Amino acid sequence: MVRSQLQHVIFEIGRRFDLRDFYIIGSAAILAVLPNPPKGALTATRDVDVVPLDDDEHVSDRISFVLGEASEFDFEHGYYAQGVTSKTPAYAPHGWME
Amino acid sequence: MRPTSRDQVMQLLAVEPAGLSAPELMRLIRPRISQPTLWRTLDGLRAEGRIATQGRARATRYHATARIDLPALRSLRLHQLAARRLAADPELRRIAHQRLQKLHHANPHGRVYQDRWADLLGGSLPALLRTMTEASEQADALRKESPFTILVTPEERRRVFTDVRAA
Repeated sequence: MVRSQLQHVIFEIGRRFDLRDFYIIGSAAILAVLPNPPKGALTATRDVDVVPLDDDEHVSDRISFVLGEASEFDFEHGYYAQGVTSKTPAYAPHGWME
Repeated sequence: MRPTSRDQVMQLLAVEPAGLSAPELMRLIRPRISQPTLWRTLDGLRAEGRIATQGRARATRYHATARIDLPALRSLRLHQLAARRLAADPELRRIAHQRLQKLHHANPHGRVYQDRWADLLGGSLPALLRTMTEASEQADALRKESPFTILVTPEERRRVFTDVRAA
């Protein structure tokens, strides 16, 4: 995945779900920090893990359904969003959502 | 394809922080299963370390030892459907090949996964189907970059989302 693809996913989530703020976690998040990260395991991904600000599992499911794996969006663009929750990361810094 | 009773138990426990008792599980599992079948299912999951118990006898509650990854479970279901279709018509590998080409253009950095799928597509069908439907973290990662969900119909996908969702 490259940064323009991450930006596209973020734009579509905002547009389709009327969400202004949400978290991006997982390997795609590196693209928010490094515009051109070295090619490797972190850039091999084609999915963007998204956590709604209020951690609503039903919104996560909607994101996965509309923009997720095997969606029309995925078939058209070759990358997709995956709605997850704050419980998804096995390890995360204390207070990472604050 | 309906989730098995094992999958249903894991899914129900994964979204219930307080755990569930056997009668509660019996009420929630569809289609209904007998008590001996539930005991066998729970014993198998306990032997694999996938569930933990709290309390004793009739007060026993069951907990998932790790929260299940719903997107990974959905992906597995989608690939089970795609595998079934491929098994019935191996010529569909051609469509997966085309999809793989598109994925390569969209995500050149995913080459390590794409090459693995290309190798499997060129090999034996049983090995391909096994990898598509394997239950492991490694297979979960590989499935994220797979070209096979193109073989799943929108209606099948909708059913997967209905079956596998947050409680």
